[in-house]
Amino acid sequence: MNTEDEPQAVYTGADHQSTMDDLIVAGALGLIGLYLAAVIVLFAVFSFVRLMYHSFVAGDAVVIFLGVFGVLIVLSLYMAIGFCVQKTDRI
Amino acid sequence: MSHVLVSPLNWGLGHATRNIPVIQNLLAHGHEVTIAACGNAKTVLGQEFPGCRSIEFPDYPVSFSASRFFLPKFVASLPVFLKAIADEQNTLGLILAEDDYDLIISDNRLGVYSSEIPSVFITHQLHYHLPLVFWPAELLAVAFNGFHHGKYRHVIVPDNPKAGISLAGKLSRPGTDTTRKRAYFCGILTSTRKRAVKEDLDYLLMISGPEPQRSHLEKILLDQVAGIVGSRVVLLGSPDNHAPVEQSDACRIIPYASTSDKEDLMNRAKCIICRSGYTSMMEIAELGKRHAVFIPTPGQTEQEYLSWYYEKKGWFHSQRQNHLNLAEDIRIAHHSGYTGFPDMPKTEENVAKLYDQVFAQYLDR
Repeated sequence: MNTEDEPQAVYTGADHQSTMDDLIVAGALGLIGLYLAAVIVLFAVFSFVRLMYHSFVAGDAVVIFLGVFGVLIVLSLYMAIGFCVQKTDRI
Repeated sequence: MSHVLVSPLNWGLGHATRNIPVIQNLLAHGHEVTIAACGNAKTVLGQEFPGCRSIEFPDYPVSFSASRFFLPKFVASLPVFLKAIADEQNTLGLILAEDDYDLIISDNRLGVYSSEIPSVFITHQLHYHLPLVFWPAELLAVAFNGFHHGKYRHVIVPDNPKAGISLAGKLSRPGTDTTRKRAYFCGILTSTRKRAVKEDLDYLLMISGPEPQRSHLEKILLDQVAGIVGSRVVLLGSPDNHAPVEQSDACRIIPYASTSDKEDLMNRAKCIICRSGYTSMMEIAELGKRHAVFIPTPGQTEQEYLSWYYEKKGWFHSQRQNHLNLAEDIRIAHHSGYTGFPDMPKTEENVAKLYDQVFAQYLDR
């Protein structure tokens, strides 16, 4: 069927009542989770930097040492899990 | 005769062009095909199939890759993307209400499926590749893909079923049982055909992809192209480019080539220098080219992964855009033992099998 001479139908779903598919619900929940995780990570980084700064000003070397050590442990664990997940072909 | 709705994504022309052999095959079997697409994808398919009805069907307003920082921008734009999928589903409802369809083929359009009409999804990315530091996001994407693939009867993967000759590597590896049960590996799909012409062109440089990286690569390649010996053609992939460029008998610079002219040049080329987009990879595999240099678009994790994967397999040489030394990289591509892609079934055979093994069960002869 050749419709070259017919007027083109333009469909825009944005103009119509939305029906909530479970794909959209799952996507929206996933996004909320993603952004919440980002906020929590940013808050943790901010709190850590503030703690380190105050400890530095107060000359509290033990807190600084423990803080840096803790961060290194957490980052190492995070990357180690990532490597494991990669090596086992899950990602 | 049955009626099929084909809806490719309009992010680059790759999705539209790989549907060309599929549509040709459906038409050859006497079925009616309606194309629902937008932008260049709709234009290309409309030109290729003037006898098919085509419907303007907007997709996603998300930039494909505007800069080096594709990933963070993409993540930030996900809510807009999700809204676009919801709109897409509502639009599809209107399209399906207007006409009767027996099969829906969605090429990477996430909202194009129906619970009442058999729907199939075409994608070479069952798995998204992200830098290792984002492994939780990659795991989540695997789960989301599995959930999404559950909406379809089949997930058609334009890649080879045998792992040893997989063209997409881990990108086409099913991550969940839902995806695994539905995945049908049909082999490469491309509209580019091998022609019986002599390979009389030493180098074909194809500059493509989203701006501004396309322009960056154009500058890098044009600065270096004079330094290589042999006949050269540079395709700028930029229809609006009218800037004067130096040319000689040995070096032609073409702002934009038609699909047919590009196919002719690719057939004639002994060595191809291009981005590592999956469509180009399928074209090179179809033509059986043995020498190429791939330059992934910076920040596009899929192209970066494919470049790395082909290097690891010893198939083709790749180089990062900012480290490109054209003469040296061409020398490496020719003399470091790269084998090219292994032999694999070609599009004509693949598309015939795809029809018999997947589509035919939903369509009346």
